[in-house]
Amino acid sequence: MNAGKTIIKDGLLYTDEHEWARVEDDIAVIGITDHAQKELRNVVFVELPGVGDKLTFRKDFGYVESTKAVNSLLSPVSGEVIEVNSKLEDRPELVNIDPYGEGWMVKVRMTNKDELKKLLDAKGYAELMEKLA
Amino acid sequence: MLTPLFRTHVRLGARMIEFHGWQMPVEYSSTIEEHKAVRGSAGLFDVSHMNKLKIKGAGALQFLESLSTNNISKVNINGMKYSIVCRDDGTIVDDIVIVRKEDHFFLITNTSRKEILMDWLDKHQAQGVEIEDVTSDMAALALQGPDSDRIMSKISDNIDKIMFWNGAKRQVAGVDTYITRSGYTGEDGFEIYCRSQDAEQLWRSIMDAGNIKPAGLGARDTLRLEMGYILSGMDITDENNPLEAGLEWAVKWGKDFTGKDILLNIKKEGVKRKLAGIKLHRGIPRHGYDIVGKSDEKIGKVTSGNISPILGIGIGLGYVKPEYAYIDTSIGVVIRNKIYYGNIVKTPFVEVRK
Repeated sequence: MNAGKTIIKDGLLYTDEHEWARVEDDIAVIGITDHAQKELRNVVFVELPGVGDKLTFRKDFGYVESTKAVNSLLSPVSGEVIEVNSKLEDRPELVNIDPYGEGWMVKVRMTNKDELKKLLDAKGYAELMEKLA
Repeated sequence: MLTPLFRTHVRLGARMIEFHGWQMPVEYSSTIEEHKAVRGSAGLFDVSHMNKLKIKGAGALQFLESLSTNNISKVNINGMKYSIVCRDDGTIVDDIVIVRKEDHFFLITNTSRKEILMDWLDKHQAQGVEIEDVTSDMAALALQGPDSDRIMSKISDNIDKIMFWNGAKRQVAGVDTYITRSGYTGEDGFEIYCRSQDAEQLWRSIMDAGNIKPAGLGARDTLRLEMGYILSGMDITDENNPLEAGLEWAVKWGKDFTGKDILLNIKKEGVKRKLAGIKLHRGIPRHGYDIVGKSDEKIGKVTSGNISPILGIGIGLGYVKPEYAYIDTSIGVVIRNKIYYGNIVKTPFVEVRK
C-alpha cells in the first residue's frame, strides 16, 4: 500500500473529485489521484467502460469499489474510449500501488479540448487538497 | 456514543465511522491487511459497542428459556449459548449470546437491533426478572487469530483451561476481566470484558504482548462473511425466520419457546427461501443486489457481500428460492444492470485451522 504523504504529479490535470488526466495532443489518459486511492484504501474491483464507449465531461464513466463502498468515477473530459487498462480486471490493487502509472484506467480521444480549461493544474489541485486537510 | 477506547483509536490513526450511534474504527491500516493478520497471527478489536445486559432474579432462567429457541437450562455456569429470539409468528427479533454467570445471565446482543430487542424483552418481562443494561459500564475487546492463546497466556494465568465457548474470571496484567473463548471470525480467540476505566490499560497490555494488529469493523465484517456467519439486521431481519436463515441447529424442538408452533408448521410445509453462500467469478455482490438463475430469472436477493481477502474474489450471502439452494447451482448477481455469474457454494467460504 502506498502510505505516507499524498503525491500530486506536475503536468497532469485534475478534477475536484480526484480524477487526473494526462493530455497529449487530443488523447487523455485518465485515472484517480493518490489522495483518492488513499481514501479508498483497498481497491478491490474496478468497472470500466469498453473501447468505443463515449464519455461525457463530469459524468460517470465507471466504478471503483473498496472493501467499504462503491464509488463512481467522474470523467474529466468528453470523448471516445480508445483503450482500457485490462490489467485492473485481475489486479485492481494497482490503483493503490501506482495510481498515476500502472493504475491508469482509460485512454480517451477527446472531442472538446475546451473542457480542459475547467480542470485544475497541479498547483490548483494542491491548493484544493490543503483546503480539505 | 464513544467507547472507552475512542482516544486509543484516534491515536492509532483509525478511520472512524458512526455505527448505530457509536463512533467506531472501521479500519486502521487497511481492512485487507487487518483481515489477513487475524487469519495469520492475531488482531485486536474494540467491541464495546455490543449491547450488554444482565438478566437477574428468580425468574431469569424461565424468562430467557421461554424467549430462546435454544436450550438455556442446559448451560453450565460459565458456559455460553447462541440463540434466536423469535416473535409469535416465527420471525426473528434478534440473535443473542447468553453467558451463564453464577448469579445472573449475561447477554451480548446486536447494537443495530438494540431497540427492537429491548422493547421485546420489556414487553415480556415477567415477575421476578430484572433487566439491567450494562453496555456503558463495560468495555469489550476481542483478540482473534491463531496466536491468541499464546498471547493471552503471556499476560494471564490458566488461559488454556478456558474451553471453546466457555468463560472465566481472569486477571490480565493487573486488570480484572471476564474472558470467553469465542468470537466472530472463525479463528481461535477471546472476548474480554472489563470495567470501562480499565479498558485502555487492558488494550495496551494485550497489544504489547505480541505481534498484533488493531482491527476495525471492516475486517470484522469480512472475517465473519468468509465464515458464512450471519449478521443480524443484514442477513436476518424482521421478515426472516430461523429455518430459512439456516439456523435450525439453534432451534430445539423439544422445549417451548415463542414462535415454536408457527416454525413447526413452516418446517413441515418447507421454507419459501433459503440463505445460501454465493461466489462470483468476477464482481462483488453487495446487500440488496438481485440474484438471478440460469435464464436470468430473478430468484432472490443478496443480504451481505464483499471481497474475500483470502480468496481474492467476491463472496456473499443471500436468500434464494429453495430449488436453487444447492451447491454448484449456477447463478448470477445483478450489479449496476449487468449480470455477473457465479455459483451457490457451501459455507464457510474458507477453511480455518482448528
